[in-house]
Amino acid sequence: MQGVASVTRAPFPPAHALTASFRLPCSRRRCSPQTLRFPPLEGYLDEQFHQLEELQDDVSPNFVEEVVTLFFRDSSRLIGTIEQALQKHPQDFHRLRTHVERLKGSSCSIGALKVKSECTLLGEYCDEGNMDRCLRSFQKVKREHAILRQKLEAYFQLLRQVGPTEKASGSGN
Amino acid sequence: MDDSESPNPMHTLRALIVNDCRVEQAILVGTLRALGVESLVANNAEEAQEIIYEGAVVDLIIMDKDMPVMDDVIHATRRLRAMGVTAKILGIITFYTREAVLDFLYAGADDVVLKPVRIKKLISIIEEINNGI
Repeated sequence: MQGVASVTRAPFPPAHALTASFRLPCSRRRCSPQTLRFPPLEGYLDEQFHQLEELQDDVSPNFVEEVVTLFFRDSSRLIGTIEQALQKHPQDFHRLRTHVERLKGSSCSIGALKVKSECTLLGEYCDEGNMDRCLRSFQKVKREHAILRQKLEAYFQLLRQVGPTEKASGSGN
Repeated sequence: MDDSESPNPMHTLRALIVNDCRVEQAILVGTLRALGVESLVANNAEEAQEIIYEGAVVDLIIMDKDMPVMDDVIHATRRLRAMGVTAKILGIITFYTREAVLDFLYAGADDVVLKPVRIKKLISIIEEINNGI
């Protein structure tokens, strides 16, 4: 196996058919606006998460949950790495910041708003070389990460109970 | 080329994603797939260059600057341009600094965006590619 490349085939209309008003074909979309009816997630996820949900279709019906699962697996490992890095003396703030950037990057990608915000602050404290603030900020990162994990687990459990054909029909709570 | 038809109606666009984060890889691959674009994935700048050296033809290269050896991405961008690669190169960064943006642009990237890469941005780039811009 070559190992470095993987190719995925695109089942959607070819890219040259795109127009400025492109929308995913409705027959391929599974409208999943459930985050709008799941108040516990409000403020924890941004538009990026909704965008990911728009990508779900018959070919990848569990795309979001798969990505989120991957995120928590990778981010938990990163948090462990940051925790170990914070215990080093003398502190290598540049290396620490690199780990924080990676955590922030993947948080951005799934729309984890609060985790991203706390990573931004932690990154700033790394730039300042302020160990006390780094330690306090890191605790906040861990807390937001844990809270988000709980909320998303509950959310996906709810989705499984509701089933794939359920669609949002308005304000009902 | 006849302007009355697409650049190549049978041509499926291909993108090379240069990113070592599996989450971001999965999201970009999924997003591009939804937009009708095939994806190749490289975990670092060296792999990306190998893919191109081995003859892969891509229309878009998405380079993540925030990989373990950051400067490699900038150097890789420069080397790819020096090789004559004309694909659109989109640089992505996690923390905005003027220096990070300029490093990428001077190396030959066409655009630089903050993470996350939005679908609208990818659509706009794909349209530019299709229109030969």
